[in-house]
Amino acid sequence: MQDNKDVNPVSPEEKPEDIKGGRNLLILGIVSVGIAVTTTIVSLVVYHKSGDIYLDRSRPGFLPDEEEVMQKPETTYTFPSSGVLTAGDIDEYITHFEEAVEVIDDLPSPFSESPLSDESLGIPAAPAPEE
Amino acid sequence: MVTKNISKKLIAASLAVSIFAGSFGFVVKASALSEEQNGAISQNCATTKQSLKQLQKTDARTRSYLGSAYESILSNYITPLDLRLINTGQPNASLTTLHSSIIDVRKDFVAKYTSYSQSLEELINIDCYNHQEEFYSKLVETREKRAELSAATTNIRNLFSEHLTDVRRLKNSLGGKNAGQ
Repeated sequence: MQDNKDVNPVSPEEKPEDIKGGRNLLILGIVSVGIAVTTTIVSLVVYHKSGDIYLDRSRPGFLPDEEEVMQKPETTYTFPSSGVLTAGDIDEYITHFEEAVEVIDDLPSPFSESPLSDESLGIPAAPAPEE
Repeated sequence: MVTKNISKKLIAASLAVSIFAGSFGFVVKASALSEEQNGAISQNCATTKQSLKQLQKTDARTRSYLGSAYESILSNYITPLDLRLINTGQPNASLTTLHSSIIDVRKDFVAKYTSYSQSLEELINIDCYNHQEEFYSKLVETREKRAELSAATTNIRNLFSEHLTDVRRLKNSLGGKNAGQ
C-alpha cells in the first residue's frame, strides 16, 4: 500500500485549492490581456479602414493651432423653425445666409491643383515626343 | 491529329501575342518618365516629402473649416427653413429637393476627402528615392482625387447659390401673397 502523501507532494502550508486558484488567476489575467489586445487591434483596423483616421484632427501632428481655433467660423444665428413665415423673415434669412456663405468664399480655391503640380514638386516637364 | 496540331499552333500564337503585348506594355511603362524626371524626383525626394506632409496638414485644416461651415449652414439655416415651411403648411418641393442634394453632396465631399487623404498618405509613404515610377503614378492618382474633391466643394457652393435663388423666389411669392391679402 502506498501512502497518498508520497504521490501528491504538497507542503502542509499549500493546499491544492490555493494552487488551482493561483493558476486560474494567471489564466484570467492572460485571457484579459489577450481580449484587450485583440479588441484594440480590431478597433484600430476599423478606425483606419473606415477612413475616420483622416477626419480625426486629434491625432498627433494634426491638432489645430491656437490661432486656428480663434478663427473658427462663429455662428450665433439660427433661423427659427416655427412661426408664420413672412417676407421680412425671409429677408433676415437671406442676410444671415449670405454671411454664412461668405465664410466659405473666404477660402479661395480650396484643394486647388497647384500644390501637387509637377512645377510645385520640382519635376521637369516631360520632353515633347519626337516625330 | 490535325485538331491537335491546330490547337498547338493556337496556343503558340496566343503565347507569342501575350509575350509581345507584355513586353510592349513594359516598354510603355518604362518610358513613362524621362531620365531627367526620374533624376529630379530622386534628387528632390526629401523636400517633396516635406512639402507633401505640410500639404496634408493644410488640407486637414481646410477640410475641418469647410466641414464646420457646411454643417452650420445646414443645421442653422436650410433645415429650419424647410421645417418651418412644412409646419406652416406651405412645403416647397424645390427647396426640399435642394436640401437632399446638399446633404448628398456633403456626404460625397467627406467620402472624396477620405479617399484623397488615403492616396496622399500612400504617396508620402512611397520611397521616391528608389521608386520614381511608382511615386509618379501615385502622384497622378492623387491629383485626380484632389481634382474630384475640389469639384465637390464647387458643387456644394453652387447648390448654396441655387438655394439662395429659390429662397428669393419664395420671398417674392410671399410678398405677392401679403400684398394680395
